[in-house]
Amino acid sequence: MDIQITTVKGVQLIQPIGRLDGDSAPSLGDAMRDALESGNTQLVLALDSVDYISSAGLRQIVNAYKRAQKQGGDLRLSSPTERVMAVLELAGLDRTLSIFPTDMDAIDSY
Amino acid sequence: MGEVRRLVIAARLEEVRDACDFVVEAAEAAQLDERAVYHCQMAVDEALTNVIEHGYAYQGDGSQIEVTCHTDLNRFVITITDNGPAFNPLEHESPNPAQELEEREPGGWGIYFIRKLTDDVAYQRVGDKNRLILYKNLPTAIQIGGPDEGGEDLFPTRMVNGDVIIYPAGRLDSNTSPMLEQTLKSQLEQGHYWMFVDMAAVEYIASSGLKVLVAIWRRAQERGGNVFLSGLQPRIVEIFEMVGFDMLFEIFPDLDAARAARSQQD
Repeated sequence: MDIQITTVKGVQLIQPIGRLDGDSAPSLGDAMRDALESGNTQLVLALDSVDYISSAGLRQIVNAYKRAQKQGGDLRLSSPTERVMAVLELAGLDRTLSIFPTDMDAIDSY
Repeated sequence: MGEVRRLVIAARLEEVRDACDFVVEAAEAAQLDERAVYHCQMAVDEALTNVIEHGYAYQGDGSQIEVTCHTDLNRFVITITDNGPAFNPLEHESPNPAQELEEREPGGWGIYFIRKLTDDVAYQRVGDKNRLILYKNLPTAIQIGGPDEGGEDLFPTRMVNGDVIIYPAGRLDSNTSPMLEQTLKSQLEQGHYWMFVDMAAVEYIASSGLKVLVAIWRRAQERGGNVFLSGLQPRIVEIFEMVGFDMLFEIFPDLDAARAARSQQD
């Protein structure tokens, strides 16, 4: 899957594009792990271009979140579509992860 | 039963997308609404990913998975068949979304989603194959019973020792069969898989009524229950014999005989 990573105000903004399913999720997992290994552990995962997410995608998000926390950083989510938000809620992740309506809200929260 | 659509994919994650598209098309043709179509797509994605990641791990290429879709009375039915080692995903405990992330097991979410997104799930081991069956109610299932608030037009029922007795009456034709269906279905949904249908007051049964009885009988059987019929009037018996349903159902002269047969089976 296509993943764009940019640094905005010292925060790494990760933007996957397309479907986050069992096939594509590992590449997002790799991208987030690489991002954390750069030493900058303040991450925002922008979900506005993700039209579909399965439990495989959630698993990568949870793994990256745990890893970021361990390193003293955080993984915050931004701009999920209604459908993706419904899946996050289904798994109860909306109560653990910080989710912001826009990318800038998430970036400014650091 | 409607037309059966069938797709075979190689057991590889790259192929799951094709199966999702296939299911979306079938679900749309079955006139599920957009949300329900999406739920079907997700449930199939999770189910196939499970099979591929667990069932076929380390087996490499060559294995195939069959996906079929059809409508059965008032449900859209997706069947996923693979020939991996026996694996019943429904036996595994679902994770708890209220639990703290740190305490959560990494796996198990796929089947949790499948349960949440479908109306029913069943697993069967058929020969050397695993079969997972996903059910999604068709929108008409909710509207059955007429334009007035659903749930009012039901035949009388009575609970006895955890078994339910249903008393349909009059003509069971295309006008009233939905009411019978609604009555029986609501019992199944409440977990009452043993049902006694007392037919003593039924004067006539059309194919729509027979169809309902068979569909419910099949679902009760899948759940380890049964549907016992009793008190059939001679002309109803005749119809049953004509279509061979007398071989299918357990039929008793009256309700007491049906109840007695049930208690002997326990």
